[in-house]
Amino acid sequence: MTDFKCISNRTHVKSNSGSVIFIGVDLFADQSTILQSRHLNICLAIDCSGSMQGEKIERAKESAIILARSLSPNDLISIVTFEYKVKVLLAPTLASEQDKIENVISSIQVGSATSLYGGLQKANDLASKNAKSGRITRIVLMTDGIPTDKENPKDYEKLCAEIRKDGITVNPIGIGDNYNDELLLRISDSGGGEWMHVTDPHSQLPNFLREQVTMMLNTIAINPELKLEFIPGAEIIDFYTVKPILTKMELPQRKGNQYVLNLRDLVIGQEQTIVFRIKLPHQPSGTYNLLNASAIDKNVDMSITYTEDSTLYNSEPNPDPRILLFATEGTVLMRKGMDGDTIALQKAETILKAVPTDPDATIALNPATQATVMNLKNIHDATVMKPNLSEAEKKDLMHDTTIIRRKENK
Amino acid sequence: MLNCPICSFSENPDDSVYCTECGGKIAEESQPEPQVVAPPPPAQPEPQVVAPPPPAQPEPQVVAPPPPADLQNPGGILVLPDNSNIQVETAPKTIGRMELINYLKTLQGVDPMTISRQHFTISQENNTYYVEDGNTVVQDKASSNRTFLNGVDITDKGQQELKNDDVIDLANTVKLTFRL
Repeated sequence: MTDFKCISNRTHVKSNSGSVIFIGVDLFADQSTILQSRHLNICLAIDCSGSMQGEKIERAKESAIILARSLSPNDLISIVTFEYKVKVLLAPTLASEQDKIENVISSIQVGSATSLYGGLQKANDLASKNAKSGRITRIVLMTDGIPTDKENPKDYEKLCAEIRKDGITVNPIGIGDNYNDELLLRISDSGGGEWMHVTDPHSQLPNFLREQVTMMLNTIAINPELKLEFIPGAEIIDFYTVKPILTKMELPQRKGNQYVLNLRDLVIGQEQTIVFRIKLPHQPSGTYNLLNASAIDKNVDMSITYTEDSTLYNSEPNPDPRILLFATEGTVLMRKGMDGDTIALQKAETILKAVPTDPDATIALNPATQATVMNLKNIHDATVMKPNLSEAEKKDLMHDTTIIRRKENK
Repeated sequence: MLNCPICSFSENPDDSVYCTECGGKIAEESQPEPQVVAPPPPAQPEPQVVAPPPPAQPEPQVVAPPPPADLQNPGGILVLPDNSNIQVETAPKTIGRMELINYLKTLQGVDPMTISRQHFTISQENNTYYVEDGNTVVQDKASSNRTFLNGVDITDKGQQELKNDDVIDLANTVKLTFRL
């Protein structure tokens, strides 16, 4: 069953006055959701630069074989390698051709340089051929270094947004300490995927790749849309996704009073939480339709009352969405603060003072909000405590700013 | 006119509780809101069927001022050497560097990185608590520097039952006492 919920922090605002409210949106498909069986189409883009030599490339190969073996005979797999040159090692091939696939993977060798952009482009060429045939399609990018062909993250965002339009998800896996985490984060945000940080290729890489297949199999909606129609004059000031990935989103195009947002693929068992800060228009006293929200096949209506009664407009029946938005904003600011942006760090500290961090005060909050607040506090404390973080520690913490906590198994 | 403590917007009407610019609460947030009726005096925690002895009286805490967080929510806690504690939730939860960071900061000459980000998992089933250091539903892999339960290495050894006053030692660096 899919569950779609919208909650606002306030139900009453002051008449003829400007107010800002917060709305949290939660979308979840539980284990009982009926799954249509669909074939998969996966493209591996593997970094074969010199730095991958040894353990990393061996584990990448081994994991690719594990992944290929976990596919069903009618699934498709293709492989691109990139170093100085970008090569199509395996054009889209049915997983039933196991021997051929494994031979190709075993033949992978390292070269020099890292043509990441070229690799991603080529992977898209291969993946998009079969993306529209109803297959669940994903590009899994494995890299350990800084690109040598294109460095500007904007180029990657543009490419990934194009890829995403075809319903393809891009999942970047960063190995070790020397890759550009900021870049992989932007690739995953624009490509609808999740940045994975591998510190120990031996234990983590095979699991991460296996997880990709499981997630693809559990996908119930590709590129789902969230439509929000507000009371005329209302606008979204800013909004964040909190789960599965914590990130600040670009404001969507607005048509009249309607906003249409593209969500990440809906996967069974994976909660999607989004939180909005909304500026409301001035209105005389009365009750109005605040919002009509729809996603997948669900619809939610919310109303808001404008009143002169200060007891009502000063009350906050549910502080959760407000605290969640601030904690999320603070976490995004910490990400910048960790990179040396002292103004962002100060802003994060101001927010941290304004949200309740004391366990007694957070007890009434939803566990996800509580976890977001505590995560922010921990990241802040760890950053301030060790001003000279090593690259490995920084990546670890940076990764903590993107994932709150996996959904407890239900 | 009121100033917003978060965004510094200075033109909020005097009776505002919420900032008209950023939506933040202008009144102090850190004051616990009186949402929950004051809990009754902590007479007896709910009858615990399994654990027979009454919970060991925590040593008089001279230093730590805040009341223990578990008054409203009886259950297991992990007590740190500085007498601060971590409440054990019903859902499996990982304990690691971030949960212990305030304590780790006070230790001289200890690299916090000795403790893994996810060091061990604590879980509860049918009133019994368990500790495990390995691949669990919430933990990706075993800790780098091992976990010991009452001195015995339990890394990658599966779930271990926890009893009152058991000592969980993380990387021979931090000892946590489990209390029911």
